[in-house]
Amino acid sequence: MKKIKIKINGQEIITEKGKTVLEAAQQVGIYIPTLCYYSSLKPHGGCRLCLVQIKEMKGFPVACATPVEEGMEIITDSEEIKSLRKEILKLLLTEHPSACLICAERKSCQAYQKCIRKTGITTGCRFCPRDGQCQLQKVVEEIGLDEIELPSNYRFFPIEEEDPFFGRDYNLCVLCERCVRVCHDIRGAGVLSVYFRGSEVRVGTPLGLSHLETNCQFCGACVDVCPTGALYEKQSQWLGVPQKSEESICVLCGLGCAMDYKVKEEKLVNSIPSAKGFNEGQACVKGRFLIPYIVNNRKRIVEAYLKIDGKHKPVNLNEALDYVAQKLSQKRGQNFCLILSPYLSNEDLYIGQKFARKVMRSNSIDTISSLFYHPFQLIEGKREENIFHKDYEFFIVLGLSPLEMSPVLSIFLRKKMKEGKKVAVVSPINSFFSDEADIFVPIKPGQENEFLSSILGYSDFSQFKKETREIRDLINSKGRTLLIYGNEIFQNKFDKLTDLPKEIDLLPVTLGGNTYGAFLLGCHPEIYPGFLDLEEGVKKFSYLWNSELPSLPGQGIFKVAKNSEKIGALYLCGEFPELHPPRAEFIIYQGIIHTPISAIADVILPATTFIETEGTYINLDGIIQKGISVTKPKGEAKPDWWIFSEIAKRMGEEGFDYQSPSDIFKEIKEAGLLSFLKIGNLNSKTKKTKFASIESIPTSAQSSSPIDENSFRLVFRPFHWSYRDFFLVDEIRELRRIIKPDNIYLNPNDAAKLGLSNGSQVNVLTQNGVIQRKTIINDNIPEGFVYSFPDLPLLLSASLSSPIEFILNVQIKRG
Amino acid sequence: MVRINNFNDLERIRKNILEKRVLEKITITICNGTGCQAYGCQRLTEHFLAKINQNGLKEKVEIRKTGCHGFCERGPIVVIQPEGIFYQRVKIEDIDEIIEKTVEHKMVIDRLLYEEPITGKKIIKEKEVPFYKKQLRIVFGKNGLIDPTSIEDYIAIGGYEALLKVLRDMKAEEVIDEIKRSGLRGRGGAGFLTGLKWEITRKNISSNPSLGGYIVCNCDEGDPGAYMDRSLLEGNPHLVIEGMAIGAYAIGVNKGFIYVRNEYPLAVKNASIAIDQAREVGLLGEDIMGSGFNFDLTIVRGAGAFVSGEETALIASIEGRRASPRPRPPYPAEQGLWAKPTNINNVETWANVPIIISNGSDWYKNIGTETSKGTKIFSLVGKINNTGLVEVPMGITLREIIFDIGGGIPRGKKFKAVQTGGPSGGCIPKEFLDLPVDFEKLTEVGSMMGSGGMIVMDEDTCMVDVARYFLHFTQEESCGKCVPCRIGIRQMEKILREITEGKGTLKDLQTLETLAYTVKNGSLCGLGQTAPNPVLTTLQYFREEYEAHIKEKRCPALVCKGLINYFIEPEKCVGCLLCLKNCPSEAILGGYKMIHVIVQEKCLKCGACLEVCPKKVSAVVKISGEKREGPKEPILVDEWRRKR
Repeated sequence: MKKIKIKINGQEIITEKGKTVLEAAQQVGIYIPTLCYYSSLKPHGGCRLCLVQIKEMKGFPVACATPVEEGMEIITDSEEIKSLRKEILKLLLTEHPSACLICAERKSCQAYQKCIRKTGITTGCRFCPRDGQCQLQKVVEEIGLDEIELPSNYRFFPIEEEDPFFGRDYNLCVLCERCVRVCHDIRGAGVLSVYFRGSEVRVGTPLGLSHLETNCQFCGACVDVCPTGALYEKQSQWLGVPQKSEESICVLCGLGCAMDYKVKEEKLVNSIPSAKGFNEGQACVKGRFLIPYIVNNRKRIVEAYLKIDGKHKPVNLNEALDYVAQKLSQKRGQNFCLILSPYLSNEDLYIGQKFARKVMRSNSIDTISSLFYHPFQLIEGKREENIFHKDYEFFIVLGLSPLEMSPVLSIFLRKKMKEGKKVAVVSPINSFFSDEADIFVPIKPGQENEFLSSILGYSDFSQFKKETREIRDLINSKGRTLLIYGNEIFQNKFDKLTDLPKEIDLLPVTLGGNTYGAFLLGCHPEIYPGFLDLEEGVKKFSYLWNSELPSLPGQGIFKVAKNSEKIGALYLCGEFPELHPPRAEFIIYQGIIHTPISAIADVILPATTFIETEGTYINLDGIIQKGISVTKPKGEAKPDWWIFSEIAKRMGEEGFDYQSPSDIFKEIKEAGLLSFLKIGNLNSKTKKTKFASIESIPTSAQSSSPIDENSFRLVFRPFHWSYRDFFLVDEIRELRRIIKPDNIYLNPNDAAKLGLSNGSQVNVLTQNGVIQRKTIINDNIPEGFVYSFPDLPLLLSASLSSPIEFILNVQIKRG
Repeated sequence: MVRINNFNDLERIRKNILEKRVLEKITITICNGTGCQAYGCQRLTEHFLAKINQNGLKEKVEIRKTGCHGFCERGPIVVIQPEGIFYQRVKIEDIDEIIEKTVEHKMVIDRLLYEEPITGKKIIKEKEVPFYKKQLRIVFGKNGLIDPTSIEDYIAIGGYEALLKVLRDMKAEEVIDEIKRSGLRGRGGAGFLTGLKWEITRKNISSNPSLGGYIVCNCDEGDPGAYMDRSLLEGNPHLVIEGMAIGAYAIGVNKGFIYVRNEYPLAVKNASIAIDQAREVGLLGEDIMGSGFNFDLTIVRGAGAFVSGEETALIASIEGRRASPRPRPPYPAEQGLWAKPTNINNVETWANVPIIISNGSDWYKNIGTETSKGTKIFSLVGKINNTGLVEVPMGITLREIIFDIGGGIPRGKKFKAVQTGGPSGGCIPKEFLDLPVDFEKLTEVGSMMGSGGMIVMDEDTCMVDVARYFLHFTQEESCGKCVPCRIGIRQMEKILREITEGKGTLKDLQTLETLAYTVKNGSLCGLGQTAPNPVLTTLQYFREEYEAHIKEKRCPALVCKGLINYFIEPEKCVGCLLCLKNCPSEAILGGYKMIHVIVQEKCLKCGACLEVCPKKVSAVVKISGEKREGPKEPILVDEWRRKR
């Protein structure tokens, strides 16, 4: 950037061409009041508070939109400007409750009367959810106002509180349009718009619909940018100003967005996406709204329980650990089975499998991810670290709906599109994101792999010849291409991914916050840490851990869940599909929330959530991110690695003397496991033959069209609404208003054929059982297909091997 | 028509057209502008055609539907060429007579001629009508000669000659120089030098040629009572298209847009027809006249907001977004439509371009004043005898426009003020009647050229009410984006409303001035920056009217309903019952031969009583700020007179 010299208030400043006057002033700490300006949004120029005077420019240009020029002389604080700003602010405050803002006693009032906020109508700051965090308050303070002569105009908008997660009181709106701009320009959702004109102008939704009725994703971006209390988060509405803010990551999906966690009195208030992370201040409904529901849930396990006479009795944690150690010392061997969660930190996962292998002499370690992927699917082809910062010219999204799976990824892609990069979306489901893409190919579910072959030139995809050719041409002409693929590809034979041309890099988007970490660290019955097969793994780790290790394949989650035979001991430290109630002689439940499964466990151990403990996570980008402990653990909850280590120590094992997660991380690093992050290093093709379960990967989904007229193909959408044993949809009522697990989505034509209307109760008949669903008619669903959230028990019983198949032939009967 | 493939074709085609036209053929031109359409000129034209056919005059007489002649007060206007006999307010019943007398026997029908209001003199020829006499109709004049839906008519009068000249003989830079030399300034309001604007846009395009650029014709004319752009685009669309093609060549773009108000269906229709015709003969599209220059036009219909005429709002609207302005810089010439350099001019500016090219900048420069060159079309409306569109050279005085061309104020009323420049122009009092009209002079007295609206007000106009009316308009039409405009104008309007209702205080005037300053200096776009002008100028020139409203609770012009009363003068009332029967709110008490009394509490101030009271009696009067004595209850006329 070219350096230029300008003068602000007589002070000479060196700044860069392309910056605005406001940015240049902020850079040297000169305050210019703003309301509608927001750093990540385009300048708006609506609030008129940042007016300045510039030599040789007539009138009063706005600092937020005027670019600096060499030799510009700017005045920001003349009396003329100050009085003009004051007058404008007065006008603004005639349409915003201002009694408290200009009250002579506002300072002392704030100190003594902090609990009178809960009122229906906000008439002053003390009644406002944003009191103390409001930008308007700050601006009034800076500009200084003590009287408003003009009559005020309360606009009498009804307060909108019927939507989940956030409410709206447009009587407080100053029409800075930040929410509208973020919703349109950054999120691409376009839910909020400006309506009417003149003094009637207001922000709202089309036709005044509720947000639930629009395509609102409840990402909360509008709430975060609102400078007043017009848009407010419901759960933290009355909690007041947080005491501290800590930056850490969110692990509710593999992206690992950076978040600012707001804490008050050791309690998590809310989580706001951080502008510093790659997510650039954006998040999704999970990260933005759900974390406090998880952490502060009243069903949290906060102490240890032992089952005594069929009933759970709270006990001292030490007592529980002693009991577990004593019991487990009798259960050593492959009949001990440990289920971990793909949401755990690297340290927890590593210690978990080390515990199972070293202490319990068992390879029966697994995570729920094995039901969806085979580890080698994640390490196929060429992958790069730090993908979000690389210069790809072309992006292909295949077999996933980014808006649904990871909205932040779709924002990243939108940004790239604005920079002129090309994006192709290949997905059966149309969305506002795919509408924006340069190329959209509405293939049928199950055709993902076939399509991939055709763009690589192996075969011809007759249906979308034009689009395939376009994509092929773009790969050839643009060079650096990123193939972002998701669950629908994992359901297929994945051979093709290894044969990709060298200009294509891969980004698999998986469920789970640390799925890759789980596989890398050997949480799989056939893989040792570092993707080593059993033979090599035993060789390496028996040396490192100074211990004998099991060399036979263990039992995976698929077998354990499906088998009706009892196993020796089942240690549940993660999500477990309930086909049958788990059968084991001894069940340990280590988790964060009481569930139906915890109810049958012999021992319940309280574990921490990711914001209560330190840990590292590998995100989709292949980067190791560190999460810090933001609040103290609830009750007696302990990190998982600590619990495993304690039990191991109590069983007389050595090598578990860790003081902190960083000790464990050091061990992981020293074992050379992290060098596998660059997947290109691993020649998986030659390894593949050694693994028995590789052969059981489904070769291709059954033929992609329905068998006869009355049967449908039921596609189960990837279900990412969980965090370890915490099923978000089950536990969070607000979320259930957005995500309806018992809905089935079908095409209007199919609905007409079956005589179904919206909300009809139907029975979905499969070979393995019947599930009940409610119909939602949606013209984005391809004909002959129905979509639903997965019913894992059903899928398990329908599948013969793992990874399980997610497309079934079904018949639909009116219920 | 054949396609024009090279520079010689145009001339050849023109010759063909002219040869085909029999010279002695009589042409009856019927104005089909929007004003005359409101008077029923379409049916009139149909009847004319039918009659001509009936009488077997088809070979001898041609009927031509032309664009607006400007003299809308007197429509429908029929001019019989080649003599130029000017008939006004022609009705269907008159057709037979016109054909029989004027067409067949060259006799003039006295009854249909224009009569000068003051002298009573009848005028036969169009040119001699005083309304036209003082005008200089270089842009607008051709409207009356041609059928706007016929490209042949336009070519016949020398159309597309300027484009030919430019493409054949001139470099782009030379065109820009010519326009710059002519001193043409944007007719949309701000008066920026057109040539300079083109040059800047051209420079921005040539610094990044791969980006390209656009030109736009702004026909989102939203000022109440102004319709010159409309009449131009309706009446002579090819002139605008030719101007745009020349501009596109000079600036170096291949794509243009005409942004037309959706409320102008005829303009949309005629411009669409014209574009199709021009494309068909090769005057738009690829390789125009074999020159290798490509240019095409698209019509975009406006989104129905006054503010869409603001150039950045217009850009947003063409892009398909809500029409709200954005801060400048960057100017459209740097980042306009889809962030490409864009040159926006209004209809009249584009229409001036071919005229300058054809006649040369030296000729054009001679018209007008030092700083403002050429002519300007004004829409002369309000309390004026000759309502219509007038095209005058810059520098003409207001007096000449209003009294010579406009024919003065109807019913012998006194002139009070003229408001120029649309709803956000200022009101100019009679002291400035001799002010020469140009961009600078109008600004000096607190008003502006604007797009050329001119509303004349007589002594019966309340200036406070006028200010309130215009602020109500701008308040409703504000896009609501910036605080001063959205809230400031509303607050000002509220104060003005209170003053007109008699609830004002003297402090309000000070508040009004402060608010006006804030809105003027704080607003984002031209709408807000000029909206306080009506208030500021009326406060400056008619302060005593404000003070009368506030101090005496009196509306001097007897307009503001909150401050006027109707009163029946007992000395005059004859007790005829007429007002009593017509009062909608039963506010009048009385009886036969009794003096009527208005119960003020019930009175709606509709003025029905004043209207029905017989002229010779004139007992009902409108009063303001005064108390009149009269009977409290109806009383027999005789009894009252006796008492006195």
